[in-house]
Amino acid sequence: MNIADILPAIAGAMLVVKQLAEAGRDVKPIASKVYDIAIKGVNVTQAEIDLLEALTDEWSAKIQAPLEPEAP
Amino acid sequence: MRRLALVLIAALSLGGCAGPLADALRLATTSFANPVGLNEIYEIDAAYAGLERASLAYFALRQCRASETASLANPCSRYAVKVKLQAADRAVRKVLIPFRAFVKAHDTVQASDLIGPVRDAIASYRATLTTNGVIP
Repeated sequence: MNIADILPAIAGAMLVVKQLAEAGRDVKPIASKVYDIAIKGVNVTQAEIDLLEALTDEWSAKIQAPLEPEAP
Repeated sequence: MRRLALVLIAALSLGGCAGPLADALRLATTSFANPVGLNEIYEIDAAYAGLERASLAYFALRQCRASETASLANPCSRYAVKVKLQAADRAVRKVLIPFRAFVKAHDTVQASDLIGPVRDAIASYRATLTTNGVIP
């Protein structure tokens, strides 16, 4: 696997971990899994992907919430 | 290499694309197993999730007034930037959702052609965050 393909995932995972931790959520599974994939070459399960995809769907819904226009 | 290609072309011409050589070539160029693995999907989703969290951190800032300038001393979010981030997020999902569905439904079909646009959209999302100063 190309290191250039892995680095964004690790950087992304670090951001996820930091901000989830700040929100008081359990981040260990995602953090350790991304590390395991990148460093140890372990395989993820479909259930783990489903969990991550559910999170990305939830966060996208928040991003796509209607915006308030700027006050003058 | 060129000589091998000529031999192959000649063989295929003579054989009318039939026979063992043509079959071997067909086998070599046909994907029977999906080369996009679960790990790759997970890494893509993790990268996308990271960009989403960065966007949400920006969205959580107080929104600037039109007459106000955002700075480190006065952090606030710009409406125009949020619109761009929403568009970038939608662009990722436009290719990511069909990609996820395709990979789940066709685990014996070539999906590597679909992964390129997903990677491109994620790179574009990251560029939007970077050029607007949301992430370094």
